Amino acid sequence: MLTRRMFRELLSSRELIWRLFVRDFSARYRQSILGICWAVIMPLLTSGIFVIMNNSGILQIKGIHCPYPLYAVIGISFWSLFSVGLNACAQSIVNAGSMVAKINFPKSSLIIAASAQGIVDLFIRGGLIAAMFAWYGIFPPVKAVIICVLLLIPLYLLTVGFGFILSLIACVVRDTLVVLNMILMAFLLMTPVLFPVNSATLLADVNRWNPLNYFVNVPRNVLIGGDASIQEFWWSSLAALLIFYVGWRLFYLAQTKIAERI
Amino acid sequence: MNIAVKVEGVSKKYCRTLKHTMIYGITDLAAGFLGLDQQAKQLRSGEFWAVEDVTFSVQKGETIGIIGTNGSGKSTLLKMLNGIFMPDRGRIEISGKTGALIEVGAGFHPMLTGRENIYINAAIYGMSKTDTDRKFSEIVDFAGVGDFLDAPVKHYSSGMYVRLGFAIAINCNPDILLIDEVLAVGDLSFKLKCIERIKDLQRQGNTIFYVAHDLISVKKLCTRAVWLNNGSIALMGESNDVVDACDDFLRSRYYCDSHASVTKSETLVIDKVTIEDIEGNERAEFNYGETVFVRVRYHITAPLGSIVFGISLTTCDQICVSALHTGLDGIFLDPQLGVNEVLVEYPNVRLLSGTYLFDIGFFESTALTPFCYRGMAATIKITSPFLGDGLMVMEHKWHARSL
Repeated sequence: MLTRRMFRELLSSRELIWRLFVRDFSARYRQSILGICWAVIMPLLTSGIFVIMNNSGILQIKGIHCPYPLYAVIGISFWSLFSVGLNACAQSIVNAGSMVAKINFPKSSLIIAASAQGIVDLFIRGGLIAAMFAWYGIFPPVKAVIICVLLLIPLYLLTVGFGFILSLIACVVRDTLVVLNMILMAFLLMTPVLFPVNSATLLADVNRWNPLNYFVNVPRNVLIGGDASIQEFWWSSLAALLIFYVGWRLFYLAQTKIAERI
Repeated sequence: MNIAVKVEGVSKKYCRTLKHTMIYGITDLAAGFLGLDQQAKQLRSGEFWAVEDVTFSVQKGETIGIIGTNGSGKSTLLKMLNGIFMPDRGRIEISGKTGALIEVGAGFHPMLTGRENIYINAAIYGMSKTDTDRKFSEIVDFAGVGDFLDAPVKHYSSGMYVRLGFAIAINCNPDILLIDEVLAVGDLSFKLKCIERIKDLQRQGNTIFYVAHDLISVKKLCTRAVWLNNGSIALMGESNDVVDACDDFLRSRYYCDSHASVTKSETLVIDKVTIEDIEGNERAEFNYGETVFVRVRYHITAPLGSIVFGISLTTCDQICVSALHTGLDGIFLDPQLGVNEVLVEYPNVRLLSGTYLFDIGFFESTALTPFCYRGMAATIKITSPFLGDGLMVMEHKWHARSL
């Protein structure tokens, strides 16, 4: 059966995925001074801008249960699991270059290894978040932290699922990456990542149908307290699982076709 | 006998332009998403068959040469054997693990060191970490990168880069090894090392596909050969026969295509160049040790005075076997107005098997500037029973004794 073959391929390429991940990771920071610190600088910068906007009254942020900088950093960190991962996945096949056309190996390894970049970034940012919690003297219970991490899994699956599909499209049409970044920017501003949305507004209505809303806010609310729309979260998770499976399956079927188009 | 590879009616099509690649890429992806397999078997506009209806089977332990001009479909065929592409038509059955040396060094990360790249590339070729650890020193030895093992590969010389890639790929011990034109790079010592390694694999009973433009190496390494022309098999059989046929074909096409270098003059015109045997019959094929005559008819339209005639014999690889002119032997021609003739006699031609070319020319008496020169004026094919190497068999005697 196809699904079984897909799983067998995935299992047999564990080592390759690890090697590719190590390769990407060590090559990424090899010739840079700040190296891994960039993973911390980026969310601080984005959040910083919003903190300044909030303090100067451009944004009116109300109804959150923790200091705003903490809220913003957590939000942007969770978001980047999606945005960094998706970007890395979408580029992975194109970046692999001639190797895709010249060597026969499970190409899905490239996608999964690339998606791990988002996890690494989140992991590093986890340190930042922990430091900020300590700074503000807030200590969430261990149980909440564990649940929060588990609740991020659907977001990761959604990332990889879209990553599979976008990486294929990016091989054929190179505009994909530009369009992807525009869409990611639009979604970052639309989704309540850096600010809560007042109910009974147009944006709130739109976000009711935006699974990213639940994927960011439910884990965050578990961490900092606040209402978790758990019902919608499960529905969104189901959709994410479906997208993951469909993306993976399409990728598996298309990988021999892609080698000749690259 | 065991069949290692069976190829049946295999075809593969490509797009001519990027525009079509994009359009068909999207429609094919979409069709794949929807589970339709539309039009895979027919050509759409802007497409062509890169490989068409190729059928053959190969037994375990054979070494098959794949030859043909650029763009004849050799690499495409190899990639389908490797499983990188699926054929659009037909099927390929393979028993065993295939390993490909299609582009060595593909997948190297320039920023990472040789050591890191060995592990990554080995993993791409499907080797586990323990296997790589075991083979590591062998790979490093074979590549001969020495002190550069911990330097980023972007600082490697192109030769080292290729050596490292080759060393990794060949140490993955595939049952079926596909080699695409990789021996062309690298210096002679590395090339010999590779050939030695390929012969090792042959002795171990591995099946090898060898794509090369270097026809002599195909003769030496392969038991059988496939000659592809425009994507189809032109000939398949014993490697010597196939290589010779392909060689003849390429040469004849070259003669038609190229205007063999000619220097013309108004006053001296070469009318005809013929190759004859001792009985005066025109012939193009000779056996070792026969006498060969080259007869050159020319006419002059104005008095020229004393001139010399030169003739050189070269192999098809442009290696000069012998270049002579009459002046060297103190002979000067004094042609009269009208038709003249020079007849060159080569007694006892001791050349090894192959095709050879004659270049001829008429020069003023210092033999520097030609009045009239014709490159590749005639060709002969020599068949010789000797298997020695080189161009010819020098007259020789052996004197062996114990002292």
